[in-house]
Amino acid sequence: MNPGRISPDPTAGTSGLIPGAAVLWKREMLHFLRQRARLVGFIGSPVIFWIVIGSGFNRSFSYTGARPDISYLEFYFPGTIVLTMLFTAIFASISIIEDRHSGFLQGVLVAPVPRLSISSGKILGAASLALMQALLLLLLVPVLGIGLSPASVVLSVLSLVILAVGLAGLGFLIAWRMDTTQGFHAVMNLLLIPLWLLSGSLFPVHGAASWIEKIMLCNPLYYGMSTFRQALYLASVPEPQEVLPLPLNFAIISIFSVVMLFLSARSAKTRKT
Amino acid sequence: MKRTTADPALSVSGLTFVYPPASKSGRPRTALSNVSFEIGEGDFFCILGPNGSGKSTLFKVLSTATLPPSGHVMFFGHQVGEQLRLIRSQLGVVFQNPALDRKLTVKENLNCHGRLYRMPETAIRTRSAELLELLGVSDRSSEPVETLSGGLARRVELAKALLHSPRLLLLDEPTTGLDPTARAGFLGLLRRFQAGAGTTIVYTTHILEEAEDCDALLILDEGSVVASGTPGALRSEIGKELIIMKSRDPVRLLESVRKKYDLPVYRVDDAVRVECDNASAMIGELLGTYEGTVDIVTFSRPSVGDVYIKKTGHQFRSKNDTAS
Repeated sequence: MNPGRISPDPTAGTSGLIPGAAVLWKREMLHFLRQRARLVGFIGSPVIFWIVIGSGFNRSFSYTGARPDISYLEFYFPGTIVLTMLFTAIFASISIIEDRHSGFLQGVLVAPVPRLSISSGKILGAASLALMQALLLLLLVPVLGIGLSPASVVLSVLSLVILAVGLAGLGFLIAWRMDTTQGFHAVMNLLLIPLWLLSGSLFPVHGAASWIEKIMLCNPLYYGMSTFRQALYLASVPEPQEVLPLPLNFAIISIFSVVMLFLSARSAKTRKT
Repeated sequence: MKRTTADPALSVSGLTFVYPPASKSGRPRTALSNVSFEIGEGDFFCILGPNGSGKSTLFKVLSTATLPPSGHVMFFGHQVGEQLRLIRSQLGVVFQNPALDRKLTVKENLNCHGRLYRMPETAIRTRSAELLELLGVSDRSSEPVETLSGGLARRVELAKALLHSPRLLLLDEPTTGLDPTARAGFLGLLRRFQAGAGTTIVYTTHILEEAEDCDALLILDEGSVVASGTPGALRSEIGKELIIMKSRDPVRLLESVRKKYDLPVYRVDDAVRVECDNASAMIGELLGTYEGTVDIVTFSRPSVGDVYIKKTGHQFRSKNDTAS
């Protein structure tokens, strides 16, 4: 009787995806800028980590790869960037737990936007923050004397973009089904810290015990680390030794990120409340 | 009530909602069982029920946060589940817990909402200004929500839900946390929106007084509809006046009154209730007859609360409260 019932829903499908995601992304940025403590920690903590760990291990570290003269401060620098991204991306995307808790999310869930825009807005917001932080740290590259070329800069940034999205997706995937932030600490200790420890950021894969090496080769973050290291040293001779060539590494992290995006979108679609 | 449009604003039929067991040994919990009702467009509609009556579950389904597992829910002739986004664009929802981002300013919150509802930037600006003015929060529009008092935040919440000019506004216990004066004021505000824009307003409450002045209401108890209709019609199901006698032996009193008078008489806890049309004469007579057995006698005109008591056979209280 009512024509509205048989006519197709004009707001169905993916319409509203981009504006929805954009406004949620913007909200993440505003949130970040409002929290002064986060701004200070944003740059302060990774630099402190880098200087303390980098200088602390400096003399104990011996590198058996192609560049025996590399200082630990320099070796650990790409690792610092990846660590920073790992934590920023994941912590930013787990704020979805707070959104759920504070009630903000319920309003978004009943808005006429696809669920996909909720996951994409959150993930892109978290990834943007992680990326901004990584790019700020990259400004330290000249201090270390790492030679850069246009290609090395472009590929380094590209690898960080892909990695940021993948890590933010991983964070979203973990957080979406959680109701409290308490459970997240367990995930952090059992998953995130090992993920980072075994990523090749603290020690090179070649010098590790063979069983550790095997685990490292199963770690997606190891390939992220490898990609970034190779891209960063693209203009340097000799190149750092990595297990896989750069294009293959790029392919692996791209697949990782796409899978994370897909799984988080699917997860966002299925949780009922 | 006379319907002017072909489709009701909201129609619910055969809605049953069962929560799965919380633990393996637990039993599934039925929150709603076979709930059906209709709301006409432009009505000021109240869903009344004590805590634990299934109100919140019903609200979750009506707000489209949860899809109905069984039965049908239709807004303006569109079925939930089929045209979800079209329906959502016509609904304004005020949840019991604030859905504002406390770190963002009032304006930013409204802007975020407007964009989620696909409103053009200029429309968001003019409509926000208009609503904030009307609700008396325009001077705080550039402040973060966390600096606002509870009452003001509630108004911003309302502005947010009304921003996209919804056809139906849903509110879950909207007066929670407000003092009695502010409560009446808030419902008055809602009335103004109903009158001004013809918005259908649906609110839940566990406060009996808030159900007295609506256009129509639904009373929920333990997941089932116990009564529905206009407050006047429901009240008139009870006689003109109601005499309530508290006694130490209410069972005997009930039996005796029942034998003597041909009136609707029933017992709720330690009180016997007599519906009648001439309370002043009745009271004297009853007091004369039952002096000594009756401790307190009161009489009143029937309220929505009395309708609830008559239909459920118990006081208006939540499921977990013990009889007092």
